[in-house]
Amino acid sequence: MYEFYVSRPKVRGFTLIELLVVISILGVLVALLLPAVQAAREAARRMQCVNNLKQLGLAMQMYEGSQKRLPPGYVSHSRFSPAPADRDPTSWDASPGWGWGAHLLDYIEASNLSNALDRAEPFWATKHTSLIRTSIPTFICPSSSGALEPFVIADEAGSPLALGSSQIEVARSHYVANHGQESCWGDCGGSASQVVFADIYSQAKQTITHDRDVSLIADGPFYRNSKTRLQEVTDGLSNTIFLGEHSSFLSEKTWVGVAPGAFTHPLFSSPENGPDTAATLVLVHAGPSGGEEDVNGLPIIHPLNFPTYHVGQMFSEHPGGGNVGLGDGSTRFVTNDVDLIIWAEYSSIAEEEPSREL
Amino acid sequence: MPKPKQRAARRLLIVLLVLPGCGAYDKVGLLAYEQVKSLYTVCNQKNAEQLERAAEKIAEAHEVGKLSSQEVEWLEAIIADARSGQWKVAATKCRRLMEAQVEH
Repeated sequence: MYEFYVSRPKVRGFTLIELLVVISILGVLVALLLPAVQAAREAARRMQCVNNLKQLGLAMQMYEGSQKRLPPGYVSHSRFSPAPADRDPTSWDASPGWGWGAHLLDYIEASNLSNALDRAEPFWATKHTSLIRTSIPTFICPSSSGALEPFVIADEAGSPLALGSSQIEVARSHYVANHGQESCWGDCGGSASQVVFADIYSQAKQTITHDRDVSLIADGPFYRNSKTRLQEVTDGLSNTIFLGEHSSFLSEKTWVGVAPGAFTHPLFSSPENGPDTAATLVLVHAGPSGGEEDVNGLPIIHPLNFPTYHVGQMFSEHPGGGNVGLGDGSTRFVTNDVDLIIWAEYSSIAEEEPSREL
Repeated sequence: MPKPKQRAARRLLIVLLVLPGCGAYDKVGLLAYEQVKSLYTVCNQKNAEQLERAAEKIAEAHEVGKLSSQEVEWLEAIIADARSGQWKVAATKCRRLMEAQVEH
């Protein structure tokens, strides 16, 4: 008898176990790879962020080269007599308000925009409405997870500031200029004198009669109507912070300027942060301010990323720290655990400190 | 636009980093917050003299009921680290305790 066998090709699929093993291996590989990919992406973003800071530092140098002084923190005809109609009674901020960023436009390849601005007029004048909404890539740090689109300048209550006929919408900046340790911020107009630290080492205090001239209070390179010359930075350009980061995840900053009566609001809350006065739209300070001491009598210094999250401090979303631009045009990555006194030293232009590494 | 995704990923990362084994600090009162802020300065400056002054003030505040037992426990743990010379560990704890007070 002859038996006829038809040989069927053996079709064998994957078993469930095999599939699960393969999926598990893939899962492990992805889990291993993902942090590396994220780190590489953040490294690229950070590089771009540093590059912008370098560009702004170079622009500062070029501005100083042509004007023989650094750009003003912001311009305000506060002390004109008679008083400008738009002068804020508390801060004494007034028109035209243009900030340090607006003064650098010619040096960061934004000459067309610069030429279109009338700096004798307030930036909130109707003729500037569309111009001040222009987003400039040099002022945007890709590591910032906050909003990128223009924002409406707010008053103390958080409502749109009423200046002129309509609300003021401005483009963002993720970079801020350094006002120093001492500031009078919103109290500049409220009182003609202020208690400040004579120096950060002894914590000795002194009363300064400034009569609303911020130059007599501020010890950093940029403040209202500042005209700092490089020779005045006696601590040395490589020992002084000019610029730093401030992510829009914490609060809204602009390259445009400071509107009288405006307030900057934190976008998340800590027990200590809250709205701060208009100057913080373009400037930050390191504290201690106004001779402030903490509950145990120590000076309050808030370096970059300090977890009080004031809108008037530097804030970066890079893991572990953030970048600052020094007066010599170089940049430095500063870690979150930076020595507080060294930070305060680098914030002033003339603390006469020994040169220590930031 | 990747921004909301980026933000969500960052928050997830923070949660993943903070949750495991971190002692999970909770909300504290304003005085405890002020004390931990001051302790951060002390630890940052490795200031042993100020550390003892802060410890005294914390003990006094506890005695009169201005600080809760939990708050004092957290603050004293920080002080203990600082006393043993682990200034950086103590400063990191201060930062974490302050971070725990943030509301997004």
